[in-house]
Amino acid sequence: MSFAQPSARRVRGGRTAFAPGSLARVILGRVAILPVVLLGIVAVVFLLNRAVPGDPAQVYAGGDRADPEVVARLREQWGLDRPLLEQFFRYLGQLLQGDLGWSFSQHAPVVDVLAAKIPATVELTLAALLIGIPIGLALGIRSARSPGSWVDHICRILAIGGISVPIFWLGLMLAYLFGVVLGWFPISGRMPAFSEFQPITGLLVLDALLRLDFPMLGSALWHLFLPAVTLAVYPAAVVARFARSSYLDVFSENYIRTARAFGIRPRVIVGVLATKNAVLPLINLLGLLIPSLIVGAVLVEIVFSWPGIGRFLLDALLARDYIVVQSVTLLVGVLYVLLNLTADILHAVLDPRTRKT
Amino acid sequence: MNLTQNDFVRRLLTNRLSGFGFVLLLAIILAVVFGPLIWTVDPTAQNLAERIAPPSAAHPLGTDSLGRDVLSRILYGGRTTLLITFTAVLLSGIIGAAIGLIAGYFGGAIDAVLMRINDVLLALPFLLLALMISVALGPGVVNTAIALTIPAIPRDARLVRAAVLSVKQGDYVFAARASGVRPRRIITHHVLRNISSGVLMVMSVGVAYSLLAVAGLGFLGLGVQPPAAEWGAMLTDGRMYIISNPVVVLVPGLAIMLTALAANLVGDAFRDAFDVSV
Amino acid sequence: MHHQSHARGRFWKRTTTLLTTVAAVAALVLTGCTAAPPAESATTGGSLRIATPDGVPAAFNLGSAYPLSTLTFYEVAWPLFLPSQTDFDIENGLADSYERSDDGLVHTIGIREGMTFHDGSPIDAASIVEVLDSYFFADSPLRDEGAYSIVSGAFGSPPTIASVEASDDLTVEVTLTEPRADIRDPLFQMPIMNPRIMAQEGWDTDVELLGQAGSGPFRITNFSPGAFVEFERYEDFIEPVSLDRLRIEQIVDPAARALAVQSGTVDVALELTPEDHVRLAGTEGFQEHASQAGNNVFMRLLPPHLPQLDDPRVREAIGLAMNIDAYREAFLNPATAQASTQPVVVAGVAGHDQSIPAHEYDPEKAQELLEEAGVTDLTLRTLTMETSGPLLELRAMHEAVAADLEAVGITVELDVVDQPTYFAERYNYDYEILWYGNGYNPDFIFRLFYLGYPTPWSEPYPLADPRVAQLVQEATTSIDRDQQIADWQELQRLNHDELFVGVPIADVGSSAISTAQVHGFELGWSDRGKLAWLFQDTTVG
Repeated sequence: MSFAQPSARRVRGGRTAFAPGSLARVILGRVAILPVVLLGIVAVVFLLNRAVPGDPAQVYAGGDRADPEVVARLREQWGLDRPLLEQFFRYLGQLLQGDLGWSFSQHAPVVDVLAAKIPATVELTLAALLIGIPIGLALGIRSARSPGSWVDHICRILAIGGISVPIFWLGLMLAYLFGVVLGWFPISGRMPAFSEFQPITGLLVLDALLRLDFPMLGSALWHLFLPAVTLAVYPAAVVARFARSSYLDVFSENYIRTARAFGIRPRVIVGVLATKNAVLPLINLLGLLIPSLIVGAVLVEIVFSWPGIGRFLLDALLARDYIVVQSVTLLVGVLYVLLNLTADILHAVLDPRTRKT
Repeated sequence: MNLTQNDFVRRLLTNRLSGFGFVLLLAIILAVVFGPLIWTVDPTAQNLAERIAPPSAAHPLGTDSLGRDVLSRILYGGRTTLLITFTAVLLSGIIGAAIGLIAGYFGGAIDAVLMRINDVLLALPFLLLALMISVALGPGVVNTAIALTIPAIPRDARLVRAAVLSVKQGDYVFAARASGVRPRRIITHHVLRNISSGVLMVMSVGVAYSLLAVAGLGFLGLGVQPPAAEWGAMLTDGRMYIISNPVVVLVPGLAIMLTALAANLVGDAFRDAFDVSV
Repeated sequence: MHHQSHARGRFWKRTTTLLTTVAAVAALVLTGCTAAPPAESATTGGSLRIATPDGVPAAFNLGSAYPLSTLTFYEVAWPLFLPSQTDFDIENGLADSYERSDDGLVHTIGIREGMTFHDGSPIDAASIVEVLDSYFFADSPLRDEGAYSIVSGAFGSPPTIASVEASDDLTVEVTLTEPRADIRDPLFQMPIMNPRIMAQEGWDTDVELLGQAGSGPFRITNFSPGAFVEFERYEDFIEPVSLDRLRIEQIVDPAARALAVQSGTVDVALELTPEDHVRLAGTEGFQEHASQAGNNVFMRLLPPHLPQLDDPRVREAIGLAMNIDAYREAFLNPATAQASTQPVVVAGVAGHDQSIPAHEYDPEKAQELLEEAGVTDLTLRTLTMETSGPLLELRAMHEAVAADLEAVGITVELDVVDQPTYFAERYNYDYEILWYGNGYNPDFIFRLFYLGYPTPWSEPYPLADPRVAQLVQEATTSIDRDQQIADWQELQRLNHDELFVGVPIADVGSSAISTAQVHGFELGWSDRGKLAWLFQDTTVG
């Protein structure tokens, strides 16, 4: 990760709010291009879905045994025989109205299904990040403190192992070890059986706190632990690697050496400068992690029977319910773009050097 | 990036960890290429009476759900899996580099359009995109390779473009003009030297990424069709026996993990060797 | 050096924070651990938790939630309408008597007195007629799924049903346009839901409404689509039920399912892999359950494109090349799988011919036959899914079949696809050899087996043996039960001796492993409809 070159241009005259290189202009530039990118994502996802062989109307109506009249009716209803561009605009229109389509495998509007299942995955992902990032940081910093030592090698191997291990296998092994052999944790579901707990947001930990239901809180965390740990391995490993190289970069930067030479207090150096300059790549990293976490979530959700969007996505894909796949891909893409936008803006705010790009 | 050739090689080899990575990757590739010539058991020979057997003299890694020799299937499967992986990485590297070069060199509108398309493709998760393409194309070795190539292109394109831009903005052009040499030739020369470092690193990491993706696709039943051996499919096969005979799922899992590990180590090695500040 | 010591200080500070957080979380977790699941109610039946490979639907809509697994949740909340023993005496259903007019056109069903839906309203003939109307006559695009598919399969499309009427409070009359000897078989799979609830929008996913829609011994209390369903005992059920609560959880992955029962997360796990089943059956603290074989798995040969397959010697060779005993022993659960002598029906079901001998495995004879027929270069295509219900190794089995056929010189191309593709593609005759599984309905499957599809009533099978067409037609419309059975048996003999269009693989049942605390749990396809299947005598603890 290297930082952009400092700008070679100078601003003539007085600074205006929208002078080149100003924060406002950068943000505006990024935001202005956003709709184009989003539109592009929608287009790609739409095209990919249309490229899939098979007739969704046929599948919906029951496959080969379907009555051709029914199939024809469905095709007309869904506009499948219209030109591609018209279909695309129709889809776009639906999207803008918040209609993500109808999932035939779930017999419900896609929006409803996503709303029902997303909180579980969000909770899992957040927990994984909360566990993985601190561990990754600890590993990475420890590594960076003594580069080339045995500790460094071990930490690096752990980190690389973490990004190479097949999640499914890891999950099953953890489930076997901690769920069966030791019996310390449950290995399926989010709540104990026959629970009468009424969720509010769908994030059970939060809901339990809101309702001051402490047994439920404990139960939710207990169920969350193993899946979250399994999912946390990859982000921990990635963060460890980046933390290591970031802190190495920072520790050997000339300006830190220079500051020290000038007698600036070490705590200031390390605390402020090191953190600030190491944190920036980590923000970018978060954006990059999200797609991998989603994929990881699919596998973790299968192993631990976690009722989230990941597992549901796979089921939809295998059931040829492509509307769902389309919608989720779209959401992920949008999320990614927004995250990167936030990261870019934060970058621009925190590091003036990056404003000229 | 002013390292000499010797510097680079020296840095590459003195790092113990990266040395290990190179050795491991080499060992895996050799095993996969030459192994089947030494261990000549037929990977498709079924023996239902001896299925899910633990390791023995005749079958050093046991047998799978159809009584086929796991060692042989790992070796042949490795050929398939690694062939798909390396092809995808190479192809995406070439295509991505081409796009990056064009975008970086010409700049302006071409750059803007290409990079926006790039951003769009980058926004979609790698595996998800590979999944959808795989479903659209169907199973098979060629189709799987294509499904893994396309999502990887934007990453390589972006890298190459950045390298081109850094060269353009750097001192080379100025120096070239000052000494009367045509900028285009200088740019090409230095760009190629520059991107080689980044590309090698990204390709190594790309190997790990693609490998896990091939395994993932095979795991979901979308990769290669049976009875062809392939590490991801073997993982699926063995997954049901994870308690009764974990060797069947352990072996392909380890194969995948070790190869990904080696590829990552190699990628790290390239990055470290070119990165002056380490 | 200064910065190192402060870096170390930061490190320790971070570590301490981390440790404190972990300690706090651990404290909370322990609180949760000690909080036991809700206390059991007064009666002693206990709560039963079952893990199943599939079958928790997205919605409890009869037309669409296809009962794939052996445990259909309908029958917990919505018992069989017309269940019957193999000798066709009715026991334990909503109906309690069945009569057929002499001309086979009018079938009269008597409703058991005193049963109520879960909202308290009586289960009477009028309600039953409303529900049956929706099965037979509703115009739905989902016509051919789930329970609806039984209708078109058994009664044709449009169905040969003229009317369904309530002749009095407790009697339903079904009048057909074409005579039938017995319509109990197709009717038995139809759950009867509360028509007042079915009329309401969104009832199939609303827990409140679902809790009132049922007619069986258990009432729905909680439902998470694709994840789990929870029930509690319906106090006004006409027979005593011992279990207090019931939870059915869908755990698709077989390894995770085994882990679930091993760790005590569930009390019963259905359809484990044969290896896990055998291992746990032999482990202290677990017990195994196996039902009688109720599902006949067989391979059907379809020769539409290949002239080589028109020669019966070639078809016979294919059968001889398949080592079905090896497949059964390798891929099926030994607790429930039995050798099968004929395709389509299991032993004990009408139409099964006991005089047919065991299947022959003789690859040498197969090769001779192929040489005799002059066939040297035969390629067959087959299609399958990864798994289907209890057949966890379906794909592997196909690979084994392919290997056996290759050994006699026949090439096999195998396509492995997902479920919807499989159901969409299998009838388009691009594939020459296909697996089938059939349960108890000889009526439906014989027609499928011998005639074309998707229009089972018209064009004859490409094989077009006139004896087949005649026997099938006779069996279908005969009102003489014995004649019917004799015709079906004749068809079996024809297949075995001359036609060779179906190769049996095995008769498969369902299996389960439970913890030692579970008592009285049965997988009861042997006595179809007996309420023991519905956990009437099951207790936990």
